[in-house]
Amino acid sequence: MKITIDGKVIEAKEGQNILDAALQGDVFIPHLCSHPDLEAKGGCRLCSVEIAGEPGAVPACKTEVRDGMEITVNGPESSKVRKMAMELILATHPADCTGCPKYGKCELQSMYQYLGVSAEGWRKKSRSVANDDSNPLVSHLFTRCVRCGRCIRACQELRGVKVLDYIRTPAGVRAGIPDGKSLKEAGCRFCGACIEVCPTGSIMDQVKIMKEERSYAENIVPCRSACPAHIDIPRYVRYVKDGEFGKAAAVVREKVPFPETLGSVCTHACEGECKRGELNAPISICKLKRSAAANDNGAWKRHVRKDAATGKKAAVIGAGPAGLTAAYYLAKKGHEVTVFEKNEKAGGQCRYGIPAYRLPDELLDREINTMLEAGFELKTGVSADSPKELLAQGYDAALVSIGTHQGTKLPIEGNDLPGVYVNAEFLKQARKGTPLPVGEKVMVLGGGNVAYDCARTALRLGAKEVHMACLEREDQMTATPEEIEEGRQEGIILHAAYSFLRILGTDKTEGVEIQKIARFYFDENRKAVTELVEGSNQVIAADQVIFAVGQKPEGTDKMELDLTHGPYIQTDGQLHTSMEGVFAAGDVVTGTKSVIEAIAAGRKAAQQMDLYLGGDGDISERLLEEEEPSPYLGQADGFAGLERVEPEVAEASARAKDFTLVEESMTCEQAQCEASRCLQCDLRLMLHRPKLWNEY
Amino acid sequence: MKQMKADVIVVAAGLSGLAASIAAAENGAQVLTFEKASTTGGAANMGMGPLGIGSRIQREHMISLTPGEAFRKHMYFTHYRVDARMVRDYYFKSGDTIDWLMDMGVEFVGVQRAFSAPEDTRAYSDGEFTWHVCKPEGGGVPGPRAATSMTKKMTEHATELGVEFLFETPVSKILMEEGKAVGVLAKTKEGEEIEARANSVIIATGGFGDNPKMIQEETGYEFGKTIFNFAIPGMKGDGLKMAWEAGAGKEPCSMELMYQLPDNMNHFILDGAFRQPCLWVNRNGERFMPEDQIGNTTFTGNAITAQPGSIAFSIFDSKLLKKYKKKGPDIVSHVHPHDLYDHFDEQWERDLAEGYEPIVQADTIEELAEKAGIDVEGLTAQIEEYNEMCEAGFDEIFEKDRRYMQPIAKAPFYCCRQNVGAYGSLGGVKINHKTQVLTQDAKVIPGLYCVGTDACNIFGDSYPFILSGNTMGFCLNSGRIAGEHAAAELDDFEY
Amino acid sequence: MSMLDKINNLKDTQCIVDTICKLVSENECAGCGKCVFGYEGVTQLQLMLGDIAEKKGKSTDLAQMQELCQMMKSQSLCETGEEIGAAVLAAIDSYREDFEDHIGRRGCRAGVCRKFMTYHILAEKCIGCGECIDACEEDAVLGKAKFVHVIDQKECIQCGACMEACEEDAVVRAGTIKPKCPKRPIPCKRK
Repeated sequence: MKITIDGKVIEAKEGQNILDAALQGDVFIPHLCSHPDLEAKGGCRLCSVEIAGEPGAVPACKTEVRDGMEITVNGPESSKVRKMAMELILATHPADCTGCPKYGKCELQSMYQYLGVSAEGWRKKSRSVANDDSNPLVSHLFTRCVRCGRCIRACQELRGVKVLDYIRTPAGVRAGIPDGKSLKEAGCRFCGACIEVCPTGSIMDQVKIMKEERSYAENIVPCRSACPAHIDIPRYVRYVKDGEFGKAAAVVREKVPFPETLGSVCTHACEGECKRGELNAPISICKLKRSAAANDNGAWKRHVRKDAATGKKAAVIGAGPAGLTAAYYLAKKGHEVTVFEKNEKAGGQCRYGIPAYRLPDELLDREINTMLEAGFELKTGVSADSPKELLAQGYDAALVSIGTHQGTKLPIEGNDLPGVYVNAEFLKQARKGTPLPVGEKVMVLGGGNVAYDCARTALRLGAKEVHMACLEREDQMTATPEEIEEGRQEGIILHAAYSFLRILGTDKTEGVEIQKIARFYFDENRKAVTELVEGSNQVIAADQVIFAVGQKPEGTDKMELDLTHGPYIQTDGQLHTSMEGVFAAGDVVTGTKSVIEAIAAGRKAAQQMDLYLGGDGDISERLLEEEEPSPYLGQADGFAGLERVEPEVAEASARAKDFTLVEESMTCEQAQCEASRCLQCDLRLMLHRPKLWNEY
Repeated sequence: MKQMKADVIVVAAGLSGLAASIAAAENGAQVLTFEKASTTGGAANMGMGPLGIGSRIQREHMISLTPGEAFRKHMYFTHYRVDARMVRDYYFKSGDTIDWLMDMGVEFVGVQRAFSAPEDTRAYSDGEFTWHVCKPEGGGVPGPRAATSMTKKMTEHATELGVEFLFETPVSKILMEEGKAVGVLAKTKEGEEIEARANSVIIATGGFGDNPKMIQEETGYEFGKTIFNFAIPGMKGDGLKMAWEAGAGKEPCSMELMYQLPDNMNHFILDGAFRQPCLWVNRNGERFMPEDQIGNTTFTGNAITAQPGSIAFSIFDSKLLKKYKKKGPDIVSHVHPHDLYDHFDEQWERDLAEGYEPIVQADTIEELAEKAGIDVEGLTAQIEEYNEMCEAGFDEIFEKDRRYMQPIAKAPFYCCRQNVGAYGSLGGVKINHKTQVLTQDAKVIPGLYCVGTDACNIFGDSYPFILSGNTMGFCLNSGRIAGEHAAAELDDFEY
Repeated sequence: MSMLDKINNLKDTQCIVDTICKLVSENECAGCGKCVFGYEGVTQLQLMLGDIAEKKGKSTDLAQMQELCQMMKSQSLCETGEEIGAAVLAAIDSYREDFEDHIGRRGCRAGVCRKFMTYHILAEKCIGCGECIDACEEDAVLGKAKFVHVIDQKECIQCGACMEACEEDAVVRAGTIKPKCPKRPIPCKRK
């Protein structure tokens, strides 16, 4: 049907109200208490309009359209109602907006800018309420509440959580939590819908959550933005909750080709940002990924992308996570890709750096084989040392992704004694089944995850007593807390905040002299400075010493590429090296980082190389149908207190004997239970922000 | 990354950005204006109106102040330590800018001065009638936020002229090529990146009032400790940082001082109630200024800054409170409700109960001093002396206006700590009188302009309250100057 | 009884301003908050009527209340708001003079609104005992022993403490018509 608003004819639907029809037809009518996702109540009267043939003014949000209706927005009656309503609201709203965190993004502010009215003619009243920051994630600043009821409707009807309501206080009626309860006690699910729909600064995200350097959407769903590959975490966690593991796996696979590997070894920066961490503990995002991958039904394969052949050839040197990822996406884009891997098996650090008790061969083989279905060639046991030569052989572009496979030693006395090893070599030989000899006592120098890999591998190779020493205090160590804890359970003796002075011994390693550090920091020149505690020297006996203090690339000096910081390859923002057509990605560019960062780098390399090869650089994939999640959450008793579910871990004494997998994947029930703890922060972004007058 | 193109890019749509956008568009430029917030107007939405000298309204009201006289006054106030050419161009344009706004449909209720000095000090601290107060829609008395009616008209006019606004899209970087500004990088709310190119970029982001780190680094104040300024969200110093990164020279930054209570929005009644010429002392219990000046927020802010710990205390007794309740305040402010003492008890009781930390009530002066953290002996001695002077009817120390010599004698006593406040930051980016950004050695950076608060280097050490409406006045006029120049440069490019 | 009935059945000892102010404050609208005209309208009515009763009414208040009540009648979400609007309009219609007396600072006819009452000390009854001086927290009673005490109307807050303290019934409360009293303390006639 057609209706006329201020002379403009617009299309309207049967049963629609005037306000919705107008806004859809791009005609602005002021409004405050109505919201696109909530049922209109008609309380604020800012949307008053006049209808030809009818006396007085009516609220547009509560008046159904009729065919041929003629509507005037700013008639004498409706303007009068609207202005008085706005004046009345302002008369008891704080007069000074300068201290308000919503300034500039406030709907009320925009609305009074549009109406330009002044409340000076009315009696003023301040209904001040102390700001309340005692709840996690949410700030309540109800001095600013205008009683529009949007948060209440969002909480009661849209989400069905039923926490917020109108409450009576000595300072007046406002939105709030009845009976003086905290949000946790009241059963809040911390979905943030109330924050999203509040037109003023009454309910806000806590300041610490909103980081300046991130966009709004990134702040609202911080797990997704913290993930280097931007996996749509809330989406797959929701599928896990619903028991749809195949769909969950597909969501993960839209961004990364190694879901189960990541589920086993990812450094999960996402969990550090998870908002649930503010309630009790973050969602076990990483392990949910593993259970999604472990229960994958492969349905995503029906949707995989395979573009027509471009006739372009690309070479990838190094079959680690960066190289394989790049090859995988380049192949999908129709390029002919060959991957050269010097070692006998593909996988890079995943294969030779990470011990089998964390990432077994079968798992890795399975995932790499699935990737090969994208149609690229993998040549293992073949060295390709010169990208220049590859280009000369007819490849149109080449990627160097050889990682950092050379361990480094510190320049201390005794570092060349027999029995002194470096991390990379030690782990690689162990993984290949030809381990370096290990005696009764082993000392590992270093405090990262790799140091733990070395220590725990030494234990599994038969060492009776394994020590670790590192410069950092335990809370500063780069190893994850889980790793430190598992190491402790297995009996690793940690000497945190110790300096290593020398390795003792004459013709073989006998021990390490270490000394307690009082203070350890980096000076203004980024140089490490250590202040030692005098007289705290001690000698730890050791048959072997393993340096786990960093790794660097090998062989880059012969590639005729510009290098930086020693052996690392220099690239521009597009991962292009100094040689035309040659790109580099992963640890060989950034230094030793995580698997997920290598995958993200591989994706970026694929995009850039595709652009270079004449493609559009778009490697995105939709591996499942888009489904709109339900906005309804419902009530869940004790939601805030739900404990994080941990998968089964083998007994420390049993697991430290050999290289069998330490940790099982969660059962489906466990995974669903854990996934149901998710706050579903992304639901907020699906709410529609009301368009302001200046956007029409 | 999304690519965009325009003739002129304006970074932020506050008052100066709006003025720049309109001026550029009026002169034929295609304008792209980025704004971090979802509305236009920025900090101006909280204000009441701009300065203008020589406007139609002033002539109608027989206000004879000329731009030349205002220039002289301004330079006297700032001791000629600021760019005289900039000040001159600004004041000589300001009357026409008011007319320009009126032609856009902006209405003013009249011209005011923000502050009228007591008789004794009128010669040097009286305000001129330069403040053009915006008229609320449909008439009525203008109050705080009155200037929104101006920013609205300006936004509508800008849209009519074809200015394209991108809301909730902060700019993160000025693109520089061969020493010239050629565009900006920005990011939408959803996280999509935009690279926009143009012949000129005008920075107008409103300073760093909401960036405690910059406040500390650039002005030495500690937010929440030695200063409680208006921290209007979003005023993070983006423009200054981007300009400096692009090679702009640095001018000293300052805070536009006044005074206020911490979290004043939730304690607005008290904020107003204690702004009276009662007894004001510092941490040592000593008076530090004639209290008849406390209506001059600039001077009072400066005076509090100079006290130990940069704090002061306003004190009255029950008798004075009763008088205020009965007869109203001695000094009426523009900002606070006129009947605020009717709500005093309610707010006071609630704030005491909730432990609002700046306030204290006590039955003896000693207890009051103790609780408030004032030197007990100092305050006792001061009050004894003060009360004697009240009895005698003459303030021998500061010659405070006799009307306000009212003793502090009847318990209970009320005390409220006063902190240094500020409207926001001022200045930082070096510009010339055309608002072109300069390097440290005063070379023009082609294509780059900076206007409004980011480049307001003309106030010297204090807000020139004698010519009121000056912050908005400078924003409007510097913005307009930049817009005109940027559009004019475009002609040079094309022909 | 509906609000309208209560207004129509007003007794002589009841003041319309005081009565309607209480009726508005006790109304459920004041505790609801779901609509602007109901809730904010009641808030404004409370504030304006309260001011009028406290001798702080403004000449524009009546017209403004009428305008507001018209809106409340047509724009509230439920009948309660409409009813209040109608009741206040009716009250103003029927008792305009009483409202105007309050606003014009002339007095409260029913003698209910405290701010319109003044306290006076009758010279013929006062014995200059000083009881009322001691009782007054405002130091509003002037005088000394054996002199007729006088209430300083500028200082008096109409609390009535002096009247309670006086054993001689010398303190009286007055509405529009004030008793004749000395301007400053004079020696007592009565011993």
